[in-house]
Amino acid sequence: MKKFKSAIIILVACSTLYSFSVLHKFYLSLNLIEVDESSKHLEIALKFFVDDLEAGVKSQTGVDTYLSTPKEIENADDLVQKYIITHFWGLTGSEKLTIKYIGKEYEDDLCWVYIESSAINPSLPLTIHNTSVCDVYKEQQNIVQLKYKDLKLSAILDETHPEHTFKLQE
Amino acid sequence: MDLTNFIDQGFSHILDLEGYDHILFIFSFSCIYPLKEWKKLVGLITLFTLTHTAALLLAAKQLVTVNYDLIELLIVLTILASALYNIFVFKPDNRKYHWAPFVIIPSFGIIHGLGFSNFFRMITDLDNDILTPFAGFVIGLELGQLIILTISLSLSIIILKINQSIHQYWRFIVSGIVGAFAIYLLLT
Repeated sequence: MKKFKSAIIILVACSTLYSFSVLHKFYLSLNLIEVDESSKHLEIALKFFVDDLEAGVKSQTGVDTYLSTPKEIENADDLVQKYIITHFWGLTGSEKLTIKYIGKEYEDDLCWVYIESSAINPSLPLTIHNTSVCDVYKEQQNIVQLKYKDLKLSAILDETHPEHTFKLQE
Repeated sequence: MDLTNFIDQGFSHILDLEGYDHILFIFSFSCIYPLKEWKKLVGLITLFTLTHTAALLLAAKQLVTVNYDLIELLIVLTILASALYNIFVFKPDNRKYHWAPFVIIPSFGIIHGLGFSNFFRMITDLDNDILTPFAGFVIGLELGQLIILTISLSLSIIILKINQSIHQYWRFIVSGIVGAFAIYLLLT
């Protein structure tokens, strides 16, 4: 009888479950930024889970890119570039940096996106803004690590705090 | 990124309602013992934590590579198996299979621990030594698990106070609901 009741509970619960959907995953990306000492350009490596990046591009363009598969579409790089440039930007003082897309590289289900900025002025505060993937998952956190000479600074950017201003010099 | 950031990562991960698989699993194995047998429960949780942490360490040091889809599937199956065991096999007055949770739950701990390997793969390029992320993440996870356990046991105590006869069915009710969630996850 108890077993029967449990079976009924299982069935009833099953038929009424519509809300929650997925198993847990991590909503993270890593943004490694280094200031090139001579040129003062920012050399930036963004590390995404491939499916997150793909979902981001799709939310912006409506296009399935099939990243990292044999079916990857030809202009995937263009779309990734467009997505990144929309969501990632930087300011040196109050001046907006130009971002140049270098390329992307896969490491299993991770994707590195490499970009480079115009030169910064290290005596001015540097603002980094990144809302990548936040448009897909509100829990998304983009972890920024910034290196300048011996200085190592970090920040966690998310939907509510999409940018952080770093001081490179006292 | 310092220790508190990683504690927060572990803590919010386990308590995130959108990723409720861990919550289900903890409920499933904390509901089978009557409160007076709390020592067994403590033993079970300790064993689970040990294997879980060992697997996390393997994941953090990237000594094992796992197929994440497979681990996800296995996690759901462990939850379902745990619920089915509670309903169809476990009998409080029959000692025959009472050793089983002490074997099953710790082995499930390994699978659940490996489910976190993606976190470590993502953060591995930070210059932190591996110890800080690992320690922080484990502390956060364990704190989160303790909270879920407290909720699970409090519910059980409340039900016991309200109605003793319903409390006899507690194991079935919890396992039924947990099993239903697991089947639902399996289908989606």
